[in-house]
Amino acid sequence: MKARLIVLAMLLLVFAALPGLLYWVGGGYWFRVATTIGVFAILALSANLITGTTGLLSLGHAGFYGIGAYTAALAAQAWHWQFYLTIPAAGAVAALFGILLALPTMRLVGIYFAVATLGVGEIIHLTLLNWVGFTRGPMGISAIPNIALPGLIAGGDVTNYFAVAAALAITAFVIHRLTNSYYGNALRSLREDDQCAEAMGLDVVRIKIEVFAFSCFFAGVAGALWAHTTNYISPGDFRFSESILILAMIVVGGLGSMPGAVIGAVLLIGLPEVLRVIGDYRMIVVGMVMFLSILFLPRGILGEISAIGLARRQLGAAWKSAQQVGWR
Amino acid sequence: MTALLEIDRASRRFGGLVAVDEFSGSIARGERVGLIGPNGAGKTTLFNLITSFTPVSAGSVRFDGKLLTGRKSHEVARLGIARTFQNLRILPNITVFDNVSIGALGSVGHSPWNSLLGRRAISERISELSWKALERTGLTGQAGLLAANLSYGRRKYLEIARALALQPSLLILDEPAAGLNDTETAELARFVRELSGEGLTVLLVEHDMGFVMSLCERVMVMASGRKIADGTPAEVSHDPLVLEAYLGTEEEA
Repeated sequence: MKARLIVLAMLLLVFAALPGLLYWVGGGYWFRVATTIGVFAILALSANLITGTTGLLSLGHAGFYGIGAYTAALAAQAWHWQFYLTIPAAGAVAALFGILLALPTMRLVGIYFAVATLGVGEIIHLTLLNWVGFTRGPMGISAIPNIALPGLIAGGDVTNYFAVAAALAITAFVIHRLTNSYYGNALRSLREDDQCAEAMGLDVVRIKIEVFAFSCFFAGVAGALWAHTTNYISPGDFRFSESILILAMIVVGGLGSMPGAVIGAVLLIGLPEVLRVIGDYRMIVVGMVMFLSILFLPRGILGEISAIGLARRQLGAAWKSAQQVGWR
Repeated sequence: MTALLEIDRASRRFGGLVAVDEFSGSIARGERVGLIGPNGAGKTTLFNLITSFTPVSAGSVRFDGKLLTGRKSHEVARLGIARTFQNLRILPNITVFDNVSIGALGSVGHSPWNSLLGRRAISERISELSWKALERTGLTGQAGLLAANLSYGRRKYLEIARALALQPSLLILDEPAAGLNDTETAELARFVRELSGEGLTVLLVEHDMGFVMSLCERVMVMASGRKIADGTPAEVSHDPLVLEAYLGTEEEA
């Protein structure tokens, strides 16, 4: 009963109170900020599934986001698909690429896995940048059709806001179901000790592939939403720095926490916008917020595990220089 | 009595080192068997061969008539072999209950669709198995605690609970009494005896000779990767080969 009330309150907030507030403060621009936050909240939730809950440090999330964006943009332009087709298609293609990445890399552990995902992210970015015949390269794709909802003006900021909010609600629902359940326990057991999970009868490789498929699906959905709401995408939107931004969101919000992922997206997208009045100094403030949150909140705002702990386990021996024997 | 586990000339080489050398032996259903031997004799490696943590270099392992060679460890676990680890491997950042539920998940199955579609029957089955295992090990009161907050002795029981939730027919314990005091060891021996009384087959490695000799019906002794003795505790403790392995020969001494 209490859980139902919380869900109802959140839906009211996102679909009624927040748009009302945004309209009241001036609409337009603020709706666009909220839309960006929504897209990144989807990305942070999906990255959190891999990194926060399952404990696999992935540095290539922006690549799958990019695959989703280009799939939607190209399908909408070439075949005139509507958004209700392009969004699931973008998710499916990104999930497929996620599985293709997962198959050869799943046996890598810790830092080796992180480096492999980093490489894959870069491969995707460079492909988008250089395959000019297919992706139009650095010029990007412009005039991507809008999202048109019945009863609202097509492509208006309000339409975009509601479309992203709906996608965010569905993403949150699915990921909540996956993580707040016994399946979620299986994922957390992989994060804690995957050999032990294997000894308890869990098919670790299969679970990792499943997690990548789900997570990349939602990254692809976020990409499609980005393409349709901004009408223009270019490879620069899907660089390594975006992967790091997404990672920063889930670290600040707290690894393994869904509300944390959303709060991280709100902070790291919202803060630079709110601080626009102080010009370029605002990025220093954002950096300080991230630095201080790691320093004083090792588990992020709401995390299950500490980021340092995860990094220490992922980076393994490389971290333990203090234990070195011999030369001095 | 039929053999539940049959090991036929299983060997494992690591480069030039032969960790397990043509080990043969069998364990009957319902038996309590101890595996002893000096440090480095290959006991843990043998456990890893049985549970497919490491593949055998030669030979075979059969469980309940099924060949285990070439299977993945999670498949072996699902066939009914559950193990605990020499250095405790509990999952510290999740609760005691969630730790145990991992074993139950292994036996019931872990498709994401069960969670996505909210299949009640499956999650209820997992809860039921987990609570049963917690009750069996006396951890019900600590179910909601983070596993990291349990005392050392309780963690041992948590590992056993997790293994029991897998509903095994063979339970493999790697040094269960290590680090426990005499009272705790006696309590553990009583507990293992109870489990065995309920029909569970138990195979354990242990350095505490009193524990092994009083608890096990049969003892296998390993030295330098080979099985050098196999018999009742009384037989084994008077075997000259065993005495030699533990105490050395006269010349060496």
